[in-house]
Parts: sequence; C-alpha cells; structure tokens
Amino acid sequence: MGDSINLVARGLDQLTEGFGIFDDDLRLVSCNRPFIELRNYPSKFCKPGTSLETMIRFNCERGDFGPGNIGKQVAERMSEIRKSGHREIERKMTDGQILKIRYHHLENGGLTVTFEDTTEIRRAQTALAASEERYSLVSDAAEEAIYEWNIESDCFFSSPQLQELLGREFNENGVRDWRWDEWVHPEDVEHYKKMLQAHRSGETPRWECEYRVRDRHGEYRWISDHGTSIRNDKGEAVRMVAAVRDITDRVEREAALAASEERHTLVARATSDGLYDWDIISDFLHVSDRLNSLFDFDAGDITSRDWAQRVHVDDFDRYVEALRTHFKGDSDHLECEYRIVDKNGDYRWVRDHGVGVRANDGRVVRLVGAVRDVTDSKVVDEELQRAQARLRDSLETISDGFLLVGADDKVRLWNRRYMEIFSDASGGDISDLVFEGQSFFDMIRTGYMRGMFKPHPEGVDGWIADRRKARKDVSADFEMQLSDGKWLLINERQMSDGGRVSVYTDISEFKRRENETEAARARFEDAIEALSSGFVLFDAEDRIVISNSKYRKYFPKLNDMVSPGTPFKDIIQAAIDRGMFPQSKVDPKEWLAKLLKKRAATSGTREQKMEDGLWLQISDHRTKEGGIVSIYTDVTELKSREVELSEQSAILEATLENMDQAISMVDEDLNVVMFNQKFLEYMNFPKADFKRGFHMSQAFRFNAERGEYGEGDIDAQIRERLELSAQFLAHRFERTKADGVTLEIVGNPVESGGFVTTYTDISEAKRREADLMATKVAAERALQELQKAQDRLVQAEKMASLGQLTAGIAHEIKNPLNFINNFALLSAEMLAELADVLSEPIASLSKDEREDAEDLFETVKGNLNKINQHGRRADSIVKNMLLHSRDGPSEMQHSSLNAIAEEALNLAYHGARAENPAFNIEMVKIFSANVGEIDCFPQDLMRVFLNLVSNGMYSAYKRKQSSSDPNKLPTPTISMETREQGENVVVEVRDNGSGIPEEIRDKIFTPFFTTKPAGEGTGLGLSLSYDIVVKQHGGTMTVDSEPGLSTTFIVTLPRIAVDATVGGESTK
Amino acid sequence: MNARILMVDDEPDAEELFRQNFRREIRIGTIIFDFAQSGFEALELLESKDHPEVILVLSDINMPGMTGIELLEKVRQRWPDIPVFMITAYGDRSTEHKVREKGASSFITKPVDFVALKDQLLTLTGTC
Repeated sequence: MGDSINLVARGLDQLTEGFGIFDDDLRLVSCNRPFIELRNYPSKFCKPGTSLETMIRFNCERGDFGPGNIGKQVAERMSEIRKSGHREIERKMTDGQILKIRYHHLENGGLTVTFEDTTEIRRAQTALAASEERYSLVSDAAEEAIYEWNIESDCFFSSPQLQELLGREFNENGVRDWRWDEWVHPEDVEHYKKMLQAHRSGETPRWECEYRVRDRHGEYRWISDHGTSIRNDKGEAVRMVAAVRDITDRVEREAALAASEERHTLVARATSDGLYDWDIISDFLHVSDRLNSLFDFDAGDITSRDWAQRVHVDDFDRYVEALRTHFKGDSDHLECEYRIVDKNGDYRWVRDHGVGVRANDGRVVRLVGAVRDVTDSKVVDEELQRAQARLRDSLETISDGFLLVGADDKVRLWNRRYMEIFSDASGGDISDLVFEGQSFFDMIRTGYMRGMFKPHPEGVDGWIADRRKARKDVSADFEMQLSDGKWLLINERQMSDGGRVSVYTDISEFKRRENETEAARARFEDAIEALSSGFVLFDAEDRIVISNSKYRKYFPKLNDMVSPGTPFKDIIQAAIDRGMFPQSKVDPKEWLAKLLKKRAATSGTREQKMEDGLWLQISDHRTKEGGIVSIYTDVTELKSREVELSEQSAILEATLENMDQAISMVDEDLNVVMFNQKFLEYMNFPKADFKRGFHMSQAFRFNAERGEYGEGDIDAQIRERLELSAQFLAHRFERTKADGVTLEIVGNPVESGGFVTTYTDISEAKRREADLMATKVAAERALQELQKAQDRLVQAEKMASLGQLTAGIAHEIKNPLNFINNFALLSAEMLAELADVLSEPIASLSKDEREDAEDLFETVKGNLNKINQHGRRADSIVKNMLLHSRDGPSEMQHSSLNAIAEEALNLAYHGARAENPAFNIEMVKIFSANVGEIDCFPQDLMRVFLNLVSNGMYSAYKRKQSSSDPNKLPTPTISMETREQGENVVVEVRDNGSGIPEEIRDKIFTPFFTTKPAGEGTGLGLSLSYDIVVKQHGGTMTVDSEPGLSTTFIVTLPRIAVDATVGGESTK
Repeated sequence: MNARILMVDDEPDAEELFRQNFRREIRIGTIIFDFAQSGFEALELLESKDHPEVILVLSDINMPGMTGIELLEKVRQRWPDIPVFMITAYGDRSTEHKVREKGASSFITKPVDFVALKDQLLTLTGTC
C-alpha cells in the first residue's frame, strides 16, 4: 500500500500543475513537486503540518503580493480563502509569472490548492493581439476604402476600394438608388442606426461602428466603418467622410478565440484529474475519472490500445517513438505532445508527462503520468503562426517594401521587396545587414557607408540624425533618393506598442515623369522668356496657362492678376477698373463686351494704346485646342515716329518759313533740295527762276553774271566754287553785301550726304557786339578799381587792428615813461636847489672835498638830464606809434594841395632851424596852379610832406656837414614840385643829399627802419607816410634816387577820392 | 586864502609827483592838495567836506572803475561851481572835444607841463 501511495505521489510530481492538500485546520497534508517549484518554496518548508497561514506569511514577506502591511495582507487572504467555497483566480507575480490559483474546499473539511502556470498562454495571446494590430496597420496603409456622404444633398462618393469590397458599382455623380442600411446584417441594423444617429446629432464626434454588411453575392462581411463629419452651426453632420475596412477575418478569429477560451477553461479544470497508471505487464491502463469522462472509455479495463487508437494518426509515430525512447532508458521522462480524439470526436492537443517504473533488469513495467489538455495554447499558437504567416504572405504580395522595427529600434519583420530595393542600391547582397534583432540605426548606418544612400551634406551622422528626427513623429511621409537613382516614398507609422512600420514605395518612374514634365515645362518657359515680345497663352476656356515676364512687364498693375488659371475676362475687367485703358472710360461695359466679342470672333493683329502712352501690337492666334496665344510687341517707338514724322514735316515747313534765318539744303549732287523764302530774299534770287531742286551751278552762274565774284572767267569762277562745294567741308564765314547787310553763312555737311547752309543777318549782332565790347572794357576797369578798393579796405582793416594793438602798447608804456621824465626833471630842479642851499657849507669845505662835492653835483645833474633826454626819445617813439593809429578827422575835405605843400615846406624849415639855428638850405618851389583842390585828409597829407621835406633837408644838410670837403659840394637844396597828371595830381620832393643805396631802397617804407643815428629818427616817418598816401588816399608813393647825387620822392594822389569811406574807415 | 585842490589819479606816484612839484606852494600854504585814487573816493571826499573848500578838481581820465569822464559828469552835476581839469595821456582831439563838451575847464595832456599848470592854478586861486 505504501508503495502504491508512493507511486501516486510520483505520478503527481509529473503534473505541470502544483497541487497541495490541507486539513480542516488548514495545515498541509501533502503537496507535489510543482507545488513547491511554482511557488518557489524552500523544499524543507513544505512539510506536512505547515499551516497555510505560515506559507502565505512567507509569500507576503517575500513581497509576492507587493508592498503593504504584512499582517493585514495575510489576514485578508486567509479570510478570503476561508469564506469562499470554490474559487479560481489568476495572479501576476512580481517576476512576471502568471499563476492560475484554484481553491477547492473538500466535503470532509479540507482544502485543495492548485497552481497552474499560465504565463505562456497569456504571452501568446498578447503576441497575437499585437500581430493583429500590425496586420491592420498594414491594411490601413494600403487597403482602406474611403467614402464621402454629403448628407444635405444625399450624394455619395466612394473610392474604388469600397466598390471592390462590396462588389457593387456606384454612380460617379453621387446619385444613389439604394440605402446602405438595406445591406446591413439584420442583427446589426439596429446597432448601426443607433450609432449613426448618435454621430449625426453630434453626440459622438467621431464616427466609429463595426457591423456586417452584405456584398453583391449575398455574403456578409464584417467592416469597420469610421470617420468624421463636417457639421452645421446646430452641430448636425452635413457631410461625412469615412473609411471602411474589411475586418471579417479579425472578427472570425476573435470568435474562434473566444470559443477556444471556453474550451480551455473546461479542459483546464479536467486536467487536474488527468492522471493515468499503465501496468505494462498486464497492459492494464488505469485513468482518473476526469480522463475517463473526457474520453468516455469503457469503464474498468482499458488497455493501452484503447489509448493509442485515439491518438491522431499524424502524431502516432511521434508518440510511439517517445515511448520507446523512454522505455529504452534514453530519457528520464516521457514527454510528448500529440492530438487525441475525445468523446465528441474532436481532436485535443495534450501534453503527456510520464515516468516509467523499472524492474530490476531495467525494463519498464509500469508507466505513471499525467495528461494535460494543451489544445487551448496550441490553438492560440497555431492561430498566431497563421496570423503571422498571413501577415508575411500579405507583405510578400504587396509591391511596396515593408519594414517593421520594434519599439527598441530592433528590426523585426521585412519583406522581399524591401530587400530587393536596398540590395539594388547597395549593388550586392545585404542579407548580412538585415536580420531579425538587428539595430535599425546600425543597419542604415552601415547601409550609408556602403553607399546605398545619396550623400548627406553633414555626412553619416547628419543623415542618421535626420532619420532619427523623422522617427519622432507618429507618422512621417518623405521622399528619398537612393544612390542608384531610385526614388522612394517612405511612409512611416508608429504603432501603439512603440514599434514602427515603414512602407517603401518606388516612385522613380513617377519622379522621372515629373522631372521630364518639369523639364519640358522649363524648356517651354525658357523659350517664351527668350522672346523679345510679351507672350501669353490662354486655354480653350480663355484662362491663362502661361505668360512670360515681358508680358507681365507690360501690365505692371496686373501683376496680381496674371497667374495661371485666371480668366481673360477677369484680367481685362481688372485692367478697366484700374484705368489702364483710357479708351474704355466712356462706357466700360460696352467696351469690354466689344473687346470680348472681337476676341471670340477673330484672331489677328491689332494695336492698343495703353494709359502710360505705350503702344502695343497684339497678335492673337488660335491654338489647336481652342485656346489663344497672344503676342504683345512694343510698337510705341514706331507709332510715335509715324506721328512725329507727319507732325514734324508740318512743323519744319512752318519753322523754315517763319525763321529769321535763310536756310538751304543741298544734296550730294549739289541740288538745292530745300530752301525758304528768306533764302531767295537774302540771295536776291528771283523767285520765278529758282524752284526747289535747282542746281548750285545755277546760283553760282547767276551771281557770277551779276558780278558778285568780280572780274574773270565766269566758267572758271563757277567751276572753282562747284569744286569747293563738292568737298562738303563744314564752313562758316561772314559776307557783307552791297546793301550793307552782313550775313553769317554756316554750312555743315549732313550724314546722308550734302549739307545744310544757314544765312543769318548779323548786322544788328555786329553792332551789339561792338557795344558789348565797350561795355565789357568799362566793366573790367570798374572791376579792377573795385578790387583795388577792396584791397585797400582789407589793408585798412589789418592796419586798424594793428593800430589798436600798437595804441594799447603805446599807452601802457607812455604812463610810466611820463613818470620817468617828470621825476628826472623834478630831481634835476631839486638838485639845483640843493646846490644853492648847500653853496655856503660847500664853500667852507676843504678844496678837495669842495671839488669832490661840486663834481658829484654836476655828475648827478648830468645823469638826470640823460634820463630825461632818453625818456623824451622813447616818448617820441611812442607818440609816432600812436600817430599810426591816431583818431584823426574822419571826413575827407576838399583842400588846396599847393597850400598844404607850402605850409609843410615852411614848417619843416622852421622846425629844423629851431633845432639847429645854424641850419640853412635853399628851397625851390615849383607849384602848378592847375593842381587846385583835391579830396584829402589835409592834416595827414601835411604830415607826409613835412616828413618827406624834413628827411630831404636832413639828408642834404647832413651831406654837406659831414663832408670832408664841403666846398666842393653844391649848396644843400630842397625842391618841391606839384603838377597835374590826368585825373591825378603829383607832388615831388627832391633833395641833393647822399641818396638812398639801391640795396635798402625797398626797406625804407618798413616801420622802424631808419638810417639816422640812434636817437635822431624813429623809423616810423616814411612808413606812416606810405600808409597815408597809399592806403588812406588810394595814391602811390615811389622813390627815385641816384646815390651821391639826389633823392626824389614822388607822391601821386587821385584828385577825386575813389571811395571816400575807405579813407575814412582807415583812420580809426 | 587857501586853495584846496582835489587831485584824482589811480597811480599812487601821481600824488608824489604833484607834491614834489608844488612843494613850495604846499609849504607856504598857498595850495592844499587832497588826493583820491578813484572816482568813488573823490566823491566821498567831496561829500564829507564842506564843499566850498575845494575849489578845483584835477582828474585823470583813464581809471579803473569810475572813469574820469564819469566823475566829471557827476561833479559838474552836483557841484557846478567847482571847475574840473582833466588830465590824460590820450591827447587826441576827439577826447578833448568830448571832455570839454561835458564841462571840463581845462584839458591837460601827459606828460604834464607843470610850469604851465602852476600858472593856471595860481591864476585860478588868485594868488599870482
């Protein structure tokens, strides 16, 4: 018996389910190995007598149930276990393992607990769902049918896919004679209508409904109908745009899946009892009740044959092989999955786990095992494989490349087309590059390095960065060119699990056509741009197809209008509105109507004047398609020339006849082709004899015969002139005719041959010219005077400012100088008084002391006199400096020059005599009575003459005095002469002194220049005189000297002041 | 009778010059000199004393502050009986014309001819 229990226990250990029995105190009675393994309990822990609470506490402490208060968690679970009779729960463990746990209270008060690992089944289900989704995404990319339902007008438009899907044909114009809900499955129609109503009323913003619809063949298809609507202001849908997808397969699979789920639950329950015990020796097979009910074996004795008969024929050999292997001892366990037919005749997938009991010789005598129904997971697996295969098949059938990359950026799935596209680009095999689990970015990086892609400006990193960026968007559509020139349209979509589906469509052909079209269009545009005329093409509906920039330039105000698609009528209307057609202003509507009528009727050429004066020649040509090509040519110049020509001919005629000049035009053959009446008048040609076109020889002969060329051979004279004329040289000469009229004759050759000659009566001009010349001379003279006056004014200004400065300095020096002089004089007086006072005490002194004292008195007195003398000298200099800037009389007077001269002569003589009583000189006066009165400043002139005479006297006297032999020299003489000289008067002062050496003659008018010994002259006399004569009176002052003989100063003064104010101003 | 003369000149040495030149007259008391270095000082002096005592004002023209000509105007206005002699280094005719118009009794150019001035003063004081 113990052996029997042991055997059962070993059989239980073979189950994949964990199994534990607890007594009514909930203490463990027994458990199998999977029970310990699935819950990962320490093996020593699961001994009979361990309480369930201890086990649960262990689980809590291990964290199986997540964080929380352990005592509370344990209490909760224990109370749940206790109160519920039968319970089945599925729990996901923290390590991801999913366990199905069943509690079963026994009638005698015990509890069985079973654990089943359902992780695999759940994973497979999840994978299937993901795969389904991927499949639908691919379908989305390629298979969705679109329809648009305009609810208001009840028009229905659809894409061809929908018609294909339903096998029905819809009217292209949207009119329908069917109702959609007629085709909806009777079971679904209520649901459909309810959903549609909810959407149309705005309750559900998005339209989404899954239902069955009948196709043409009467078969129902499951569809997913989803989309959105455009709504009116009440929120009601007025237009619906939706996509329809066939989901029949999916729904059926779901249904199948649901059914299999159900079966699985049943089977799973059964497997807890799925034990068998096969006594090989007696071939007695004992099966548990559960197995028996499942397979409905004959009660009692069943043999291995009964079992084997039920095994699926396809799996039988495998099953037998597995048994053999185990019996031979080549495997520790029997482990085999196979199909077996159940009592309903359905095959079920089972997993058979068994272990053989061997006799001493090693032969298996008994096999104990458990059979578990794995149909459910098998079905799911198969379903998954089928779905994936379907996916693969559908991927292979599509002509686009396909790539699926997981959320981890690892490559998962691709199709052959994808490989083809990129193999072509790399020029070789890329199977080493594309494999499952390959990193997407490593793959494309290597691809880039192999030259599969067009180089990126920033190299491989820039390219990868771009691709990474593109993948951030949920969906991305972009074009890419491969290195083999192939163009791809890449459509990427993100999946809900974070993976990404990319569809690669080869659009090279499309691109090539596009480029060709573009190139053809560009060539056409270039061609029309190259036209020198404006070009515009209208289609049959009279809308612009293309225009060139020249055309647009002609209508700058219409730049916004001239674009492809704009009707001609609109352009013209805009042009009228913008005032571009001056002619249209009277009646714009009629003008437009006329224009359109003309345009419709004819093609041809017309001319049009634009508002800016531009004349356009417009030639219209009908195209084969019924459009119009218009060529616009600027004929403004031509137009204006035409007008100008006729205008100018008239103007020329009128001008020629009305001009004061005579004019003639001679052609290259010397025919006078054109002349005016004046010409005949000036030439004295009889009108009757000289008609337009006469030859030059006729004119020459006429002149020669009337003697205008003088005596001589008439023919020779004519010939000579004809030859000269034929040279066509430009000429200009004057000719005074016998009647006294002077003609200026100007001939200029013209480019076309011949020349034009003009004859101008310049008699008047000649006279005016003479007058003008005289006026000009006068004006120039006046200008010179004015310039001189201006110079004087400038000089006077300079002198005035210099004078102010000098005066300032002089005054500052004069005050201390006065003190020096005054005190020196005073001291001399007082010293004399002191000498008087001390005369007696001095007289009483000893002779030596007296002489000493007297000597001291004399010396000091002499010194004081010297101080006074030098002081006066300085004073004299200062005074003279002040004279340069004195305030003289500010008005010119009309004074007798002779009187001033005579007074100066006398004053100088007396002055010299006063200084030196021995002085004597002979004086000569030669005064002309014609000199009379002049405009002058008499005081200043007096100073000049006084200065000149004094200098002369000094020089003459000094020469005689300093001579070693005075008797040899002539008597010192000073002579003064006045005389009239045109508008000026001249005063000459001459002495027979030693003369002025050549080398200093130009310095004598410089201030402070003197030849006198120190103390005798200030050097300011002549400088001052020069200023008075030249700058103040506008005269001149020159010196003439013969050294050793004489010196003559010549003063010339204008009789009438040039500008009285000049002199006046300068005296400031 | 003592002749009191007010001398106005901004140059301090002018006082010394006049004192030395008129030392004899001052010593014997014929002339008493009062000196002022500016027009303001001169006016103060004239106001503080019994004015008939001063019988003559001698004033320089070119002085800082109040010029001699301004002083001349004020003296002529308030003490019309007191004659004023103007002394200046600007011996030009327009200046002379100007001061005479404003009522100066005499116009003396620097350097001062003390002999001539002495004659004038003594004539004026009647001590000659």
